[in-house]
Amino acid sequence: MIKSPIQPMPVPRHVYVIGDSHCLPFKDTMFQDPTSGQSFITKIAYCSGLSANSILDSKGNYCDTFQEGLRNLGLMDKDGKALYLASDPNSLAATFAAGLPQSPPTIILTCTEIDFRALVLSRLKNDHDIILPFETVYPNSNKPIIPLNFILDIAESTIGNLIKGLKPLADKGLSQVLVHCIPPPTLNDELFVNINNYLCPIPVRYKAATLWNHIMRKKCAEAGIPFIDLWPDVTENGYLLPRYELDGVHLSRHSVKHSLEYFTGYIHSQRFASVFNHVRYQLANEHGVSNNKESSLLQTLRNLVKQPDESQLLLKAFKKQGVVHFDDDSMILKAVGKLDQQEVLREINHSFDWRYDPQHAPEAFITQPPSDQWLESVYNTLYAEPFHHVLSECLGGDPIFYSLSISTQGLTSQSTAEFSYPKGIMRAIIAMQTQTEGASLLFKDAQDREISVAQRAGTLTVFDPNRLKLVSQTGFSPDAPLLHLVMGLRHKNHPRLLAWSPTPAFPVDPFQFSTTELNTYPKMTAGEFSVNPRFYEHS
Amino acid sequence: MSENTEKCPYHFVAPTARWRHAVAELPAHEIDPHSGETAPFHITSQTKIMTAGSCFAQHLSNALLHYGFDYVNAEPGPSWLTTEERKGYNYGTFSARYGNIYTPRQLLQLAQRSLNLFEPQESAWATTEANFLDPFRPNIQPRGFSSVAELSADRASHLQAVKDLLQNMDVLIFTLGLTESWLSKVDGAVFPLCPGCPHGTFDSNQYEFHNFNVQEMVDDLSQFLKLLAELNPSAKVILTVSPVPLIATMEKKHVLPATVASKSALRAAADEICRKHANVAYFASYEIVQHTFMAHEYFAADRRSVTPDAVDHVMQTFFRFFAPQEKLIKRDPHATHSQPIFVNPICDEEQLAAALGQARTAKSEG
Repeated sequence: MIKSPIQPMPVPRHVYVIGDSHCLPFKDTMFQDPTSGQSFITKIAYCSGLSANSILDSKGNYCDTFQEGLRNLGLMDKDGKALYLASDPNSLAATFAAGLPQSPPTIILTCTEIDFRALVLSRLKNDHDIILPFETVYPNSNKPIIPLNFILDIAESTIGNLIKGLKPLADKGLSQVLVHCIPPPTLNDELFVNINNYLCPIPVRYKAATLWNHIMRKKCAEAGIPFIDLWPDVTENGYLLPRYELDGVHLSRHSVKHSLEYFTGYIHSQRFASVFNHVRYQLANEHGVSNNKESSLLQTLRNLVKQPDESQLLLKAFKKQGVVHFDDDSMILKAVGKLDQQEVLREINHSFDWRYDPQHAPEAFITQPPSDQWLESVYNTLYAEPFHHVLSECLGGDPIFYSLSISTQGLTSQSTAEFSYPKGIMRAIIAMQTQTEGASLLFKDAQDREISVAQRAGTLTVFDPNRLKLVSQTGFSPDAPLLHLVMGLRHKNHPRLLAWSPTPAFPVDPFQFSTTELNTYPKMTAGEFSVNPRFYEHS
Repeated sequence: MSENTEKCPYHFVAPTARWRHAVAELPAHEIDPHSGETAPFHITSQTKIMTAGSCFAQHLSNALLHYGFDYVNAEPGPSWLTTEERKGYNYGTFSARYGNIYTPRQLLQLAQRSLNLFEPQESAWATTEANFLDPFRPNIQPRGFSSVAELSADRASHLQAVKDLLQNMDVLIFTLGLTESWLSKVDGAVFPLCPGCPHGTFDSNQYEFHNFNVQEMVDDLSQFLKLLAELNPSAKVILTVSPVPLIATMEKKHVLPATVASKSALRAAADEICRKHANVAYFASYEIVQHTFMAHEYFAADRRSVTPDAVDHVMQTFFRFFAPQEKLIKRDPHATHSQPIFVNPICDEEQLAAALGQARTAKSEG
């Protein structure tokens, strides 16, 4: 027997495809993202008869078939909780051992094609035509037209139900859902009639499907849900290419490639956006709180520092509003002002060891790290009074700065997705330069009330991203970027730390994040920061 | 005094020609302005009947349907619509989706448009919701049309339906509603509603107020009848005048004399037309509701909307006059599409009241 060494394959990430029968062609498809080299495998759950109007029952619960699909994919437990969010020691240790980030699974949902045929095509049949409100290649027939409002109302209501149906998923932590378009209808009238028992002429069914996808795209965009539209890839001159025809309803497996190309594009766009390991940050924060109670250091610091009246007022405002801004004769500006912006903003090609697969680190363009001296200067300022006192009070204990990043393009939707931040995590913004007429940050709270915070160069604004959403910034110099801080409570086994993240995102895991890729002050090795989450059970 | 002296001519008039017999001595709800008169033509359950006119005309169409007459609906709409959708989109409100037609000029222009004899320059009004309204039937469907292309296609199909209707119907019942109108200064196109109230945008450079006089209306009706005769030589027309008063007048006078002047002109025009055309009959809706001294019973609290009792009086008289040989059998109320005898009519003119209400609110707030 010849014994040959096993070549371990990189662990593929799962992509879950759940829905009506249009999920079937995705079954067990392995593919590799050519940009990152990351491999993926699709796992499907076919929910027979799933439609937008049936996904939720009258009580707002998922229908049995959808619940079963989620359970079969291992996405949800029998109590309806997202499994990836499990914070029990075994679950945490399992993901830790696998070296995988504990991040929300990516789900592709195929749904509403059944609604479309049942509610739209069966009404149009061979009796009516519609006129689309946008340019189209499909000709009009001499059939009586019906007011488009009828179809728009059906589509708005049905797709609205689908979007409504996705909300409980997001609430449970399954927030990375992509909605798949309905496929182009068959060009085979005979097949169409055999399946549906009526004819709806090709141009009419194409117009209706185009409109349906148009509404789906619009509703998804409004809800911030990515929408996979593969029509440009599987049609020519607006009609389905023969190689993608399968059985009069579904597309052939060839089409899956195009959907997954869209998916990888989405993954790239999300590279710097998500807060990975939500649950672990939360866990770290919770332990930080408990440790803080025992921390004599902080008690000593509190006793030593005489609290200025202004600071007390600011903290009171923070507790009330969730935001506080603070500067002390631009002490921070003195520290951050030494940043060589031109240098830092230069992009370099860089490998991350904490993205997807530690063994096959993908490359990405990131900004140049700042100098060690600069980091030290900022570190010394943030951990010194009076700033340290303010930050400690806001957090409820001694801080650790998980990420300090630079933003030149203002606050993107990604950087303002505050409501999904782990509980207890705080954010801060440092204005480096403002325009002479003044600058401000505008926040909105959960009741949509606006809170405007005036800014000047050197202002440190701390806010609770779970309470406030940063909606706009005005009056900042375009050539002077903003600095973004993400901070949490420091665990006693972690040193005080200021980490420069080249992206606005978090390091992947607060217990084991890479220090070779992140510039930190003080300088650290990866080993110094990696802590097994089990450790917390005994600490 | 000679025995041969002729008696006063009124001595020989029929009892129905005498107020005391025909009106004063009868219970009000039994007054029949057509008693003693024979209709110039009759309708049967096989007669294809088309209705058009002001909102009061909807009572006629409802009653015709209710009693199983062959009320023609040239734009029935999709079969799967709910009753509410059907009503909201004006399928079956009239014999085609033309909405309210208040004046003879409007009726004439509709016929001309259906025959490609007239094409108004104003073709679409954009709404604030980026939809488009047909200026000549702005309330024909909720939210208007999704695009100009859809509006144009629907209009083409609608006008074709109107042409088919005019060609194939046996009797048109046209309810004359108003004399006051708004016209395009460019081509004289008549709008059912004053532009800007609330649909469209008012612009005194583009639109002008016009109060049609009797002669103008006689001319318009004559022209319409001429076109109809060419299309459908055997077609007959029943004219009636809506008893519903004006919501507001643009004449510099009280709305009450303005209403009476308007209705009088319409009534006079109808009378003149009936005298000239053998295929045109007059039906006295206006007289039944306004002149049987049943104001409290026949008008709602707004002193404008007619009550079901009024409609019932009108329709019983109508059928007695035009369909004396027909046995009126109400449709099974449980049958699909059964038509109630009385429905609240869809009235474009109500938009004016709404606009006035808004203006009043704005003024009082100001």
